[in-house]
Amino acid sequence: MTTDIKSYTLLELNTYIKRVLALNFDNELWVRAEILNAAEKRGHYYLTLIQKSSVSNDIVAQLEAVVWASDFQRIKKENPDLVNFFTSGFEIMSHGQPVFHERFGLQFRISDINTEYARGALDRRKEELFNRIRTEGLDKINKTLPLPPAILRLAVISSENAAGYIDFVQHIEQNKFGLKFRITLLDSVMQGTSLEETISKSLNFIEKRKSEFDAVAIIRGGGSKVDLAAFDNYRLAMLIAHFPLPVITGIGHEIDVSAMDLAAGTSLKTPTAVAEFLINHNIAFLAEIDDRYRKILSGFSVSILVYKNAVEQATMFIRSTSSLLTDRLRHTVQLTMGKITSGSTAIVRDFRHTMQIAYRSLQLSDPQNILKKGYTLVFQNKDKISLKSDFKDDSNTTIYWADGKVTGKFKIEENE
Amino acid sequence: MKKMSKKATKTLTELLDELRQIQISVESGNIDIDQIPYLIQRATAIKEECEARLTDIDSIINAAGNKEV
Repeated sequence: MTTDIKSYTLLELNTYIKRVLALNFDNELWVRAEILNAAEKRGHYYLTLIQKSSVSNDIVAQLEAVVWASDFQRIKKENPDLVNFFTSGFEIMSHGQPVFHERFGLQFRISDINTEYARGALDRRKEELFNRIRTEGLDKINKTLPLPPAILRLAVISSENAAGYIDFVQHIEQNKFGLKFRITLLDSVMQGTSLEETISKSLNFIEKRKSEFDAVAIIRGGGSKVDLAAFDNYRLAMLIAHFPLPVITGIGHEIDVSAMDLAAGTSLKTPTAVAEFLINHNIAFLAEIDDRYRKILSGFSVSILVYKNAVEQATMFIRSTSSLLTDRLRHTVQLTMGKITSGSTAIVRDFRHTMQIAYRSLQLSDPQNILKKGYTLVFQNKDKISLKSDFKDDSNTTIYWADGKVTGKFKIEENE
Repeated sequence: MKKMSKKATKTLTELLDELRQIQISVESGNIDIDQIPYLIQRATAIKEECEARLTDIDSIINAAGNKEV
């Protein structure tokens, strides 16, 4: 029964497919596709090409492709940065032919790459990425972290043997101000498809030890536009934006910025510029310290001068005041002495005058003088009789005149 | 101004702030003459410590920093 059914062996089928394909694709053609992943093996580049839905972003077509080593070397002669196009997410326009191998299946054999198209695609992709970063505010977050007043402990993400890193270290070590930095290198791949993974790991390493660092620098030497396109990476931009330490980039762009630059707190052109920035930052700190110190000393000088003047003025015041007081006191004493002197003279004079008046009064009131004026004094038993009513008849009576007295008993006779 | 005690492990930010406070006090004129010697001594110590930290630190180029990654 089964012998009646017409069937093919797998090899017959594949040979048939191969023939049909060869008949329909007898010439090479240009194909636009995005690279899902790329791998190199003995100089050959194996790519997985895909196309995504413009609506859902799902993969709607997929094909394995290969660039043989000989083709790669030929294309590279005109495009030295060719390898950088073989990066996940890159869109390329490749010239080639679909071939079918009985054992290995369908494959697109690439013989040329339209690098101009790829560069244009990179620009479009970059623009979209930048718009997304700006829309999500990732370009502002790390910039809000203040740099410490001086940066001493720096984590550097770079490649140990890269010219950019060597320049950076040399510049730092030979600074003319004698500034020192503690640099910890996180040796990372700075190009190609593994860049995202190794930089992410380095950032995670630093984040776990964030208290040991003041800032992070991501540096890489120069490179072509395509060479540096790997730094236009959304995931890395997001990590940098949310990183707990200030991030400084010097990725080697002279006229352009990458997504990582956009997200970094400080973006500089080259590793040397980063070294200069760090040196200037620390010099500015020392200058501020020196300036404040000078102002403090100057302020103290003013204060001391003010105090000195105040003390001098107080001293002068006390001196002048005491002198014035002495003068015043002396004057007062003199016045008092004068008053006392003149006062005593007056008192004596007054006293003398009073005494003279008193003496004169005494003279005037002397009974003898009064008797001389014709008056008499009448005494009865030693009592002076001044009133008629006091006179007692027939009592011992003495009557005094200025020139003598009469003693006897007298009787008042009433006679009008 | 209250006298501040010196901490051995002050950060550069703290040292700068302390210097700023001394400057503010001096410039405001609100300062007791008795404090001047101490504040001059403290400002000098801060300046010297900052300079020392920026120039005396050992430069360690640790190429194996991420071996634990």
